[in-house]
Amino acid sequence: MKLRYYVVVRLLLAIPTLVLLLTSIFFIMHVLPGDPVRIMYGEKFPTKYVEEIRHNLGLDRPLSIQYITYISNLAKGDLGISLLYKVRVIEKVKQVYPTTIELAGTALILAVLLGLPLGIIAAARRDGIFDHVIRAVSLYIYSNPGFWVALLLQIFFGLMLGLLPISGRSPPGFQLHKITGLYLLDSLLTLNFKGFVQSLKYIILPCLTIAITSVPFMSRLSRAAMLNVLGEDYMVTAKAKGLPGNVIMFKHGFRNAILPIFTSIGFMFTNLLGGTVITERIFGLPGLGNLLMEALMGRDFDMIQGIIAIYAVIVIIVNTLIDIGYALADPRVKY
Amino acid sequence: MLVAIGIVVIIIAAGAGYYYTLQQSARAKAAALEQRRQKWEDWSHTLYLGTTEFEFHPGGFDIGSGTVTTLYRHACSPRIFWIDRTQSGIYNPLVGESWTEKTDEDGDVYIEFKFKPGWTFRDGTPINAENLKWNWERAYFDLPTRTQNSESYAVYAMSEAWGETEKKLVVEDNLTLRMYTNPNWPHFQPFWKHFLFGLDYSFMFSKTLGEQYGGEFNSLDDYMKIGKEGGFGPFYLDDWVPGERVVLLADENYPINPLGPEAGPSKSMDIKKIVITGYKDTASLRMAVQTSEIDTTWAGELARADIPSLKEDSNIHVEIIPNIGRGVQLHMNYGSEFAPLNDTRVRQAIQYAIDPSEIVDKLLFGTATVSDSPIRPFLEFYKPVMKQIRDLPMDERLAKAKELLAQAGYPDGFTTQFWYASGEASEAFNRDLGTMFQAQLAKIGITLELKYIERGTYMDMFRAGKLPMATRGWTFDYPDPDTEIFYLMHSSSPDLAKRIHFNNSYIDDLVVEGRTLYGQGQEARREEVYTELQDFIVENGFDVPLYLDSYCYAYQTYVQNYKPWLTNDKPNLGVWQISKQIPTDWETRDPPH
Repeated sequence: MKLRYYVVVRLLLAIPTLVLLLTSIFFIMHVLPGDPVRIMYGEKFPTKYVEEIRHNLGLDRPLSIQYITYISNLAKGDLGISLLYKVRVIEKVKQVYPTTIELAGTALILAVLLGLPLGIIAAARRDGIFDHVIRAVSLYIYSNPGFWVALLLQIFFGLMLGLLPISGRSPPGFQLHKITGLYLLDSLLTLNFKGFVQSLKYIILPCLTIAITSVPFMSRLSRAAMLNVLGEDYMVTAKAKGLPGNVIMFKHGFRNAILPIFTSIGFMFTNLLGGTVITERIFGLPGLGNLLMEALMGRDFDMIQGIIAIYAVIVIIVNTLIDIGYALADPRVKY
Repeated sequence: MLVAIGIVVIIIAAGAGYYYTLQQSARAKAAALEQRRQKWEDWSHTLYLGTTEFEFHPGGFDIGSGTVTTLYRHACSPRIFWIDRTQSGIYNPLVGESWTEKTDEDGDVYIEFKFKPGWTFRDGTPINAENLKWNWERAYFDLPTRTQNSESYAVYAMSEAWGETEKKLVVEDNLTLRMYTNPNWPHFQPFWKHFLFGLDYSFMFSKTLGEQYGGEFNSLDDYMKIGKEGGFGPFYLDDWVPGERVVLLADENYPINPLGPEAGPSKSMDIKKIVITGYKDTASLRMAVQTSEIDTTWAGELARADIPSLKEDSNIHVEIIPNIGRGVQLHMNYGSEFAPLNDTRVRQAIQYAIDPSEIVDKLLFGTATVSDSPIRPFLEFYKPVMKQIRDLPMDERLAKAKELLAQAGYPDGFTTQFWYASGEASEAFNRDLGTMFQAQLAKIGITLELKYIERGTYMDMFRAGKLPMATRGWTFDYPDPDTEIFYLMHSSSPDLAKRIHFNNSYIDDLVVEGRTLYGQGQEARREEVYTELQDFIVENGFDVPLYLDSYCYAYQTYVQNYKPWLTNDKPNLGVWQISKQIPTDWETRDPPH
């Protein structure tokens, strides 16, 4: 099968997966206790008005009818209207998704830039002091929960040293011509270096929070992948041929070890997208995680389903991209 | 000779060069200093405000109850009148001139609103009867399409005003609007005030822009357009970063000055810009004020546990405002079908055993007031009914509680549950509160299990009476005992009575009598009614009034004349009076922003 057919098949197969996922979310959310109208309008609001609003929103219709409406709207690309925000779900998501993508993306880049070399060096110096230190430090850092790291960073860099802002995504008066919504990227694209520095200052702490807890994972993974490869016959052959150490390590070793690492980076990115909730909340970042939390608390059905649908689509796309990347990176891989 | 001349020339040139460099350096320094001075100047005219209640949806009449919304509503949108809460809620005209209850030739009752002439929204659309009609109709008939919370009460009150009568707003002339009402309703003046209060909460904007942009589901650009040009107030919306920040800029042409005409127009105001930043939790809010990221916190949002240490920070003022009506009064209520909580003696025993003063001291660090009646002390007919219990020494109270439990057949106590909602800012406090109840009730043999569940489910269970014990907060709506008693005790009150399964026709009659006697010159009878109703709380034990919460806020010492709420008590007076002092060492550092 050619790669493009494979991609098309993968995307087609994703449709029933998505429908199944959204169906289960739909029914789970609707059978849970908690009335969105009550939550929206508060405790004092009289029942007769609550009933009227429920009726107008169609929440008093049979669940099956609500489901059919939901799915048919979804098929038309309509994710619905947020009960809480009174805007189209897609509008609200458009407002906040760059925050999450930027946060997860920068954290991933940082984690890879730090974790990958550490893992490779640790593997190259297996059972040496460096290896032991890296493993011990990784384990220590990995044992710290993210929210704890976030608070420590806030207190140390924000409160005690006053070096970095503790909350938000940009300072008041921040001027930026938005292209992608990713502040770092947009400021570079528009050559707005002041904006770049400003947004960098705001993203450092949340990005570090996620990256710090991701670096150990990346370093352990790359160490293990490299160790697997280092024991292979072709590595022995390369050594026997008298090739220089860095050539053996990077040309023969790293290229072969990259495949599982590449897959894991993809999974890590999708995990990070879903796992930024706590970081977003602690640093007051208006991202998808925060939005999902608020939607869950407010029983904002359409918003919850919409965000989960978007997460699912991202996961599917990233996985497909990984597969494509896999084939491009390793000529042995055929579809 | 030539060499000497050359040396002299070189020396002169070097000197000139040095002098020039010095001059340049001095100029650069002066320019840098000037730039820094300008930065501080800008900083001193900007108020940075932090809040954990960051809800913002301008463009809708019904826009939420968060801090940003409150400021926006009052600072950017025309108000028909303003309520002077320092004088028991007296209503004063703003863009409205008068509001009078009248009867037309067919005998239908209406309220006639007259507006002041000559005022326009920022886009030039006149603020007149036609415009207000459009806004109110939008408010009422669009109810299901809007968000959220307290604005709903304006609509609710409006709906009550109409009752079953035709929902009719009639433009009599350019500046006069008739709102027909339920003829039986306006006689209950406190509720009428509630309605006006609701209108005071309401957000109005230019009909022209509203029709142009105010579709059912506005985009951010629509909101920005309306916020920039569609309002009428001392400020307008300059920037809105959803979920993060809102910036309001002073409208220097706004003609009203709360300090009086002699103070000049709004340009005399020191604060030209308000930056409101949202924080997701109280810990971040605290850090923001400690790092000077913000000048002040919004009232009532600091964690109580932070108050003692913040008070020790010499750069920060911490203010605590006792509850005078706005704040929450906390009650302990029961789902009384749970045995043995359905036994009056058991509930009375709990009234004796629960000690709110310990809660106020240890959990709220003295920042609240123990409440001895559901009616707040400043309201008419307040009777501190719980004092007869709470003035007793604790030993006697516990002995009495055990005696009541023994009479009810539980000499060794029993096991029950206290529930609270998880996943919200108050979760930790509620857990501590539950722990304290646990300890207090353990002294009379009651084992209290702490249970929690996320808020949506919690609210459903509460309303359905499925929670054996839970607390309930109640805020003040209008200046009459009815504001507390009706909702606490009448069986038709919105859900509350159902929650506690309290249903008593005699009490219902008393509550209605108290309400209908308002303004009828029968104050003595009203007093009897409300006294009996308050006494019933001790007789029946269905409620334990716990405490009246206060408002705590913190602000930097360089902020002068800061008052909380900024815009409420007298229209925007708070903002007018504030000034920020530039620090004496400004030359050595940049401002925090």
